[in-house]
Amino acid sequence: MTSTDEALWNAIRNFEIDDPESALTFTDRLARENGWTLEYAIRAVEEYKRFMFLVCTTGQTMTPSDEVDQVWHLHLLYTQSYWEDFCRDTLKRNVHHGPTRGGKAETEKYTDLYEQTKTHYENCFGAPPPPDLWPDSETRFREVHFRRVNLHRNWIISKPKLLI
Amino acid sequence: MNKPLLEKLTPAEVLQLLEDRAASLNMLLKMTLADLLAKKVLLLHERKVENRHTSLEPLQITYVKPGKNFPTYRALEHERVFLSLFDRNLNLSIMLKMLVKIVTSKFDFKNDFYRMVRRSPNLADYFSRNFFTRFFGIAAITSKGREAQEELKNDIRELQYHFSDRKKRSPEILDPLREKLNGNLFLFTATTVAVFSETDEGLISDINAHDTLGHLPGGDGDFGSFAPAFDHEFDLYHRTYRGGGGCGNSGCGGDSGCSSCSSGCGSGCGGGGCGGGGCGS
Repeated sequence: MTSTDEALWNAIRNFEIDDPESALTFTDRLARENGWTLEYAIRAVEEYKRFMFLVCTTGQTMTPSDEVDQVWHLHLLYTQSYWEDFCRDTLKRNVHHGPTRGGKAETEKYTDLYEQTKTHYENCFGAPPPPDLWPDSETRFREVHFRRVNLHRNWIISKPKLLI
Repeated sequence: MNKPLLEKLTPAEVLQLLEDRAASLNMLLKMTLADLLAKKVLLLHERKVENRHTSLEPLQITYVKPGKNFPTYRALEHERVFLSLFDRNLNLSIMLKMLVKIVTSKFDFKNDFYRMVRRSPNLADYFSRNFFTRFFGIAAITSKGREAQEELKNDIRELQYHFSDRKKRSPEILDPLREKLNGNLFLFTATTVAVFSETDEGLISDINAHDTLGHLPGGDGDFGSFAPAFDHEFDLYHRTYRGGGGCGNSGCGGDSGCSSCSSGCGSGCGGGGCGGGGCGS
């Protein structure tokens, strides 16, 4: 890591995504909306920061895991934090989010990019990304059928493992 | 020779043995964290964070990260709940308030933590374990447990009496004691702690170089009187999410609002910049 990269990584690592004065912080909301534990949500935020560092330092298009992508989506909703505090003041550049345009070619493209991202991650941080937050490509692009559910009116029951 | 119980047991174990269910969950958790800080398994540090709501001075926020003894420390089950987050990332540093939330939210029923403490191998001889005690979550103390209670009470009484004499408050006497007692030091009354701080200003700050426990106003009560910031996070959690009678995080529609502001996106969305990330889903 060059000294410039190191300075950037320290700035990203020290970026506080949670408002210390909020009763419901960003991480609380992330955990709640995804049905995660708070501990898992904190780890996901850490992986999001690593992903953003890779985006900035490789200069290439990167593809996150779905878990990291959920952190990104939520951060994009906190527009002031994302665009001003994070992109402008911390990363010193704008990082845009580009969803897939769909179709087989796009899936292949993103599968390839996802693999490359994980390779960059390992080269940069000296260890492979944690599999519970960066699953294998097959799982990453198969398990994408999410939907917003009103838990006030609905129950959620897990499918038997044999049917998955 | 066997170690005295006050040197062998964690504060949560001592409280469990002495007070059983009368010890509040809040206090058990606080003492456990204080003990881990005293043992340098965790470390508190402060960082300035921009105040996003006002243009006032940045906020001074307390963070927790693994301490120098983290990698080699063999944690008990009731201590693991404070440490597991850092297992995979020794460089992780999180706000104290988030750690308090993580730990406290794991125990919807205070009995869960009591059971966890009672499972400690250090207390194996002091509580009887059978189907009924497990099923009903009750604690049946054994005769050895009663002896241990007496030993602890005597030791605490003796130490408090000892330090009521000003002449005995020299660093030569206090320093080795500090090394031995770790977090059990905080089980003394604030008066005793104030005595420690009188003779040795570095007492608590040695325990943790930058920690909030270092603010020792003396005062009149329990742990909270000498650790205001530390105490605040635990109590705030309980007021906000447990007792308070407010809306909390569900119901009342309290957390579903959002707002806009005209300057929010203007400078951010327009520009170009680096490639960014693409998403396959």
